Amino acid sequence: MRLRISLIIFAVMLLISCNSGSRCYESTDTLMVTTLIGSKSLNIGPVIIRGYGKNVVGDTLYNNKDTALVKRIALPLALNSDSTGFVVYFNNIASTFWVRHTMNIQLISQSCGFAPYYELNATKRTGLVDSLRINVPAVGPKSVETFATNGQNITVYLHLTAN
Amino acid sequence: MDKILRFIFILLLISPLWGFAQKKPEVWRYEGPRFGLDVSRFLMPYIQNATKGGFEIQADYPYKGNWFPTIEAGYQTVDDNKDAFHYTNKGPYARIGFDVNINKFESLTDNDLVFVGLRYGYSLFAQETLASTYSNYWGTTQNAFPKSNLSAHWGELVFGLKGELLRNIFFGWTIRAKFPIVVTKDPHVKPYVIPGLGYTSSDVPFDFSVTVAYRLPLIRTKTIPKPLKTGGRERQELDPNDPENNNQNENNNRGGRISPGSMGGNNSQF
Repeated sequence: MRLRISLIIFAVMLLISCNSGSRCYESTDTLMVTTLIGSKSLNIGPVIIRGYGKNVVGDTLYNNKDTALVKRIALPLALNSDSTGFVVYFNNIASTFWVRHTMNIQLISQSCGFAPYYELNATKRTGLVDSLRINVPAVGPKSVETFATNGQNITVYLHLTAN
Repeated sequence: MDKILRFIFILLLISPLWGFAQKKPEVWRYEGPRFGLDVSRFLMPYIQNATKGGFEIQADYPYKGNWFPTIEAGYQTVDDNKDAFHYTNKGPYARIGFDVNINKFESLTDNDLVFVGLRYGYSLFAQETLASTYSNYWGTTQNAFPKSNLSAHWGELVFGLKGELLRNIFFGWTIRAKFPIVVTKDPHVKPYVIPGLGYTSSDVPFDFSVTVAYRLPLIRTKTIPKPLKTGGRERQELDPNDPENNNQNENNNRGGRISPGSMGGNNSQF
């Protein structure tokens, strides 16, 4: 009899306890981790970054007035295009860099939904952007977490001159 | 009057013999295939926020008393319509394996089981993403991914209880640890729920079932299965004072195969 009672009690407990939560605990923001490095080991002054063609107030992705040897930024990539352009304002000059990529939308989880995964495959630059280097071509929702302290998807070398 | 007195006298004389002549009802142990239904599959939509539907049927058959070769089969549908995506998934699945009773049977009528078991599971299912939406700084993308046919293989460790609540009617539950072996990959949508396997959000998904089963009493016996050798006694000893074991000594080894409802039988041992 004890077994039979425990059968019923545990069955009810099981049914009640299986009410699964539906919160999302994972990131779905896919951002390309970018490091800005100045030439000649010079400090980088104030930098503003916007998406190419995004000139409306509120379109600024990054606005940092500090001076530092290295600046780290997480930048979003285009969803409906195979390349993404950014405008970098520093030393009162607007420079651009472009990243060519492929994209694949994947399901993260039931509670988080879908997120894009990118593969970086080429770059282009203008102005004071000296060069670009793709370090880790795979960009996904965990890139920011992966490169939280060091490492990056792409390195942007800026042409700096000593004043 | 004389005749009446004589009748009463004879009656009193033979009355103690009635007790011997009156047979106690025989107690048998019944065995046979058991067919069950996992009722948790029907209750789930009312308990969880899930959109799962489907059914699962189960069958087992006793082998040497404590071993139960088991087969389970079912069909599952998932229709998950959220703000960000609409996903569907459906397909049949089957599991094959066995349970081993680790509980000691106390009497001929004791059929309660505490068991551990192993399963091999296979599912053939189709999934489709009817719509998905993702937005960021650059805008919004909307995608749909067509139907793809996938399959999955997995293993299961099972622990459960099963008790005979009414004659031949069993109620029980199991907890299952599942070990995905091979799951066909989809480039866009890793299936987050697989029919028969459950949610794939963890490496070892846990699941449970709540079963109501009916046993076809095809076999009857007077022998209680020996407990498995886990330090227990070699042979089951019965309490002579237990009324459920009242015919044990005189009828042992008189098991027989019967048809349901019939009390007759031959003397073959189960």
